[in-house]
Amino acid sequence: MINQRKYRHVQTFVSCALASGLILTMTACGNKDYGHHEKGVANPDTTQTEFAIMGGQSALSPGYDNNPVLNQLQADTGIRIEWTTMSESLSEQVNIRIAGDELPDAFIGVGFNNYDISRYGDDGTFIDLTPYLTEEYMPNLSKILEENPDIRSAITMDDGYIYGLPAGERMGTAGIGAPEDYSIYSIPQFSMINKAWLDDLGLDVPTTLDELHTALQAFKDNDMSARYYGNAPGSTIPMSTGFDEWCWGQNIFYAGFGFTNWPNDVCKDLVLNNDGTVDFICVSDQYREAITYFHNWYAEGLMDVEMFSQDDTQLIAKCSQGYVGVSTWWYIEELMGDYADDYVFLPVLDGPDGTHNVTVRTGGGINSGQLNITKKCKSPANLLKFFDMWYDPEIVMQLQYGPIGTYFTEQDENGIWLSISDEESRAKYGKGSGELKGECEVFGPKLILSDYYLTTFRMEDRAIERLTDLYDFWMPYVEDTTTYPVDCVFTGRELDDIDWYKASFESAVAEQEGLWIKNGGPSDEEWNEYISYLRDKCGMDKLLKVYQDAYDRYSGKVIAE
Amino acid sequence: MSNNKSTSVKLPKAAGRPLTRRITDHWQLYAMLFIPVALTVIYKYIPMYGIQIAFRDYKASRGFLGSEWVGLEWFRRFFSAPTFGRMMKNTILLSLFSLLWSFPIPIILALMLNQVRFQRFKRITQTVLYAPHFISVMVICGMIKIFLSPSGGLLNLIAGTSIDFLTESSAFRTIYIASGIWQDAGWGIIVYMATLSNVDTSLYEAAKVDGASMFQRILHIDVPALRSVMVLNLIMSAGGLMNVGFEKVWLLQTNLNKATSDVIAVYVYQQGIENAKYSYSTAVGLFNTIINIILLIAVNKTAGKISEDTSFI
Amino acid sequence: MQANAKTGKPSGLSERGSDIVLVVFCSIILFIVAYPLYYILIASVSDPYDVYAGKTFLLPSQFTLEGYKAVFADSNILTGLLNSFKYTIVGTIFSVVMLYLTAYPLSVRSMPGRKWLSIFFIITMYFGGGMVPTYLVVKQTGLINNMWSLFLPGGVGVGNMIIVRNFFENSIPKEMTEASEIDGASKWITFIRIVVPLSRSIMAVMVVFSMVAYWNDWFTSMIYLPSPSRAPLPLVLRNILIKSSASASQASTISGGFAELNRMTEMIKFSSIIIAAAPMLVIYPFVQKYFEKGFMAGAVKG
Repeated sequence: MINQRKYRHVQTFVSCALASGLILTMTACGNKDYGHHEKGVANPDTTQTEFAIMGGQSALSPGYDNNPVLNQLQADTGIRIEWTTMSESLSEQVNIRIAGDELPDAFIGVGFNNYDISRYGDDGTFIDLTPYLTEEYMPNLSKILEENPDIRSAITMDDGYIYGLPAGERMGTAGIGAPEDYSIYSIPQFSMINKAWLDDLGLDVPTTLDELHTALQAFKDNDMSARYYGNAPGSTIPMSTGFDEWCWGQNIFYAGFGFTNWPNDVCKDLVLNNDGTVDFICVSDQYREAITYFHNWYAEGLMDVEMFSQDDTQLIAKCSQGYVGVSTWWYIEELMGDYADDYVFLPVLDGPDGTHNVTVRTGGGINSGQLNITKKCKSPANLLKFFDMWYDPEIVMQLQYGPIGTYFTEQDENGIWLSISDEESRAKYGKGSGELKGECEVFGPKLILSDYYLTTFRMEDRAIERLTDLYDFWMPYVEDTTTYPVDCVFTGRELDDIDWYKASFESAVAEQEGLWIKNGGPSDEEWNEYISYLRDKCGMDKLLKVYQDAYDRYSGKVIAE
Repeated sequence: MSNNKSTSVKLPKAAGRPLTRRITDHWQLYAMLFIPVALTVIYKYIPMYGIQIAFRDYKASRGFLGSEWVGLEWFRRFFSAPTFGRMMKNTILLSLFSLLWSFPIPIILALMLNQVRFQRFKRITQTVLYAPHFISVMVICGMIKIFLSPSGGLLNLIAGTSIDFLTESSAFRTIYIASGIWQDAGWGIIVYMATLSNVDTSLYEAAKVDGASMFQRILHIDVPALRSVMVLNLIMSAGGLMNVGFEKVWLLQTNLNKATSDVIAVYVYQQGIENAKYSYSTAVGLFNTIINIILLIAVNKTAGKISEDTSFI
Repeated sequence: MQANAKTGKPSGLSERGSDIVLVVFCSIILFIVAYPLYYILIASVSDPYDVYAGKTFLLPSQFTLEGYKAVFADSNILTGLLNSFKYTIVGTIFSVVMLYLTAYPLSVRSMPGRKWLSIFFIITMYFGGGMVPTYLVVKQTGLINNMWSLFLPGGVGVGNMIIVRNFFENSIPKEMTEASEIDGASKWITFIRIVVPLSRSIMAVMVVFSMVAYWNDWFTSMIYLPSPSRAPLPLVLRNILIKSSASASQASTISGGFAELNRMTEMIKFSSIIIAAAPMLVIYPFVQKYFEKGFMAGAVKG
């Protein structure tokens, strides 16, 4: 008979041994063979020619090992890269690698935010790249930085160092040759109205909110969806949008009250005034008026009851059946499908006081979270030579869309590259051009400046169309393009505050806005309560201070240049 | 070491023997437990060092031990979140009502189905009932939106109204619970069916001979057979009270129904995902766990009084 | 089953009456549950925008098999299916064995330390280290990209183990186990010869639970089996869905085509559900008979 006690002992012993062994191996920071890095000083080592890079890729991409553009670049700069990329669970894997101290030479396409970049730069996980941004190490990039000092400030952390290469896309009206450069995101919501219905009812395209109100009412009373399109009776929805959605929300209609608070990349409801002060529009009187006004529309059944809960698929479903009279989207065709020809742009409408004001949205911010070199890398100079190639316009366009010969077909008489059309792409590859792009696209430090569209490659047709519409039809309604800059850099403490308060602040505001539109605007008491709630519990004042301070520094910087 | 004073069975040489002797008597059982225990130690206990990040400001570059110790900071922040009170209330109520409604239903269904004598009908019913369990939450929420849509949704069509139920905070709980029952009731009957199948059929015969109706047979034979499993289920569910799942609430939540749909799990997700707040979400998770354990112990003690042979521990 | 003759004075409804009431009731429930399932089936072969516009409550609208085609066109489906079978079968056997090995000792009242061992397991139901530490341990034990990483780290499914333990304590007739021990059989023999055969119904339940859990798992495989050739079916389906919605947002807005590609994503959502659930639904009736009433009849007497 086996001695049971011994068993127990053995078992305990084995478990303990296993446990301590594991803990030891995990905490023991081995003598990792890292490169030598000092902030502000370039490491001249050029021995390493094989690099391990980890990061993200497009869900449609088959990986980078056989990417012709990347392989050519590697051959040209004399290095070889081992890619470890994924489109799923990237952040977990990244964290695990950093926590387990198993760093690759660089991270690509991860999209670290400034908070992380600052921290990792601070403790040395990411190396400082400032000494390499010279003509000697990176000629292409340093030239760009010289010509665009705002890009350089956008990637400089508040400790003065740069921990990642710049990335960003500036698709704007300069790309179609306009004298001013307005980002394609400036006005994300294009409102549209069914002209066929208006004609049928003998109405003109509205120019004020009141006129729109009349039109909506007429749509409803005459059940235009049934009458004009032969749909089921009662299926007319005069106006349908999402709520606070980026290109399909209701925010453009607030212009009549002096603001358009669509979601943006900084903080919702944040506005920059002409005098350099920042405010939250959601505690202003205009906002209160707007909400109260639109509640009436909602109560009258002119706004879609489902606006607060529907997703974009539901909206498209309704619009493509011809139920909806007025809506908003990036542009008309896609939303309205077969009925698109009946719709026209609905201009920015004047409010009850006869004015309108559009706050543009920022777009095309620059960040430095797409390429970060870690302390493991022994010869950053070699690796950066490779990445410097990315800042050549003809190269970056291929990294963004696809190789010459696949995505880009030929050059026109001005030497500008033309891209494959949707039909050609389907015929040749069995998939649309958008999908093709998705497959060929490489994630990483791509910088696409507005003038590339004029000098190097032609923009996608739809983009051209939209930018033209933006410039010709919509921008004339904008009097002031002042908007909070998206490239502001925040200090660690500020980032902490934003981190902490922003989510609950935005959430509280959105909730109240919805409830008021649905149930009725706030009484004086409710309004005051709301403001104190935002101030005391949601850190509104702290947020204001953070954004104000950051802006002051930013504008100070810009002036000094 | 405690020893359960078993009154039902007396093995010839029972209590009273020295401990070591009892251990060696049962050596085979310990051997059986060896692998499970080893696995549990390696894969469950060792990783537990990760819990400490609830008290640290975890930064991936510093690792677990290197991250700054912040003590109860996260808990303090959690308690001072603007909607803390509402979140707690909603989480508890949602869970409680879910439990209240969805606990009895599988039992009743199992009891009924067990008595059905048409085998094919019974089998088909069981398979159909159990099918919804496999539908992913995403699809279920998509369907809910379609069925409840104010413009053409089934419910509004039948009732002749056009209410957007997903924006009514009073409707949220009902929607959540009803869809939960639809999804999981059929799954829940499985264990009960298995227990009932072990009931000696001669008992039924005897009862019939005595003139008992179907209802009485259910009450006096089936229910007692299920008693210990029922109580066990109840205890386990109570012990999971604070774990309102994140995904379904998040998919059904709109800006307008937050009065009842604002729950802890979604809040942590919204706070955490943007900023990868591992520490914070671990701390909140720990808070949830502690509450669950308190509940577990309490319910276990009460249950012990109801059903002597059942206890979690 | 022949109808019972009415003997004595029944109180309440007659046998026949009860049967009818029962069947009617169950049918109503059957209908309520089945309708939404039917709806998903219809939706998977209809145009999604019609579905969302509420046009498909009874019959499909714009019948199309594109959703299914898109899923089956992916070459990974077959590997996914094979992998799923492999993982499910091995995993189920492993899990059920673990459950039994743990539950039985804990159900023997006379075993010393029973309570503490139970607590030892139960704690793991509530406390866990989190994903990153667990991953590190799994890596240290060399299981990354190894099928066993799907089963070993899960250890013992404590919730299920408790149910099985409870079953052993309360549903196995004590006379049987006692008789066996009096006859001089060791604990192990009692376990194998008496307890296991008598617990067929709960074993069937645990087999079903394990099968379903392993069949549906995609998360664990995503983390521990990064190589694509090892992906099980749900992961493959999920990737197809993601690719599709990535296509949609790629083409979206800037270059157009969102609505079109979104349509495909929606269709795939519905059809992949049907595809993923189908095997489990087909298998279930076979396992069902193990927990039908009267299955154990005669076992005790024998």
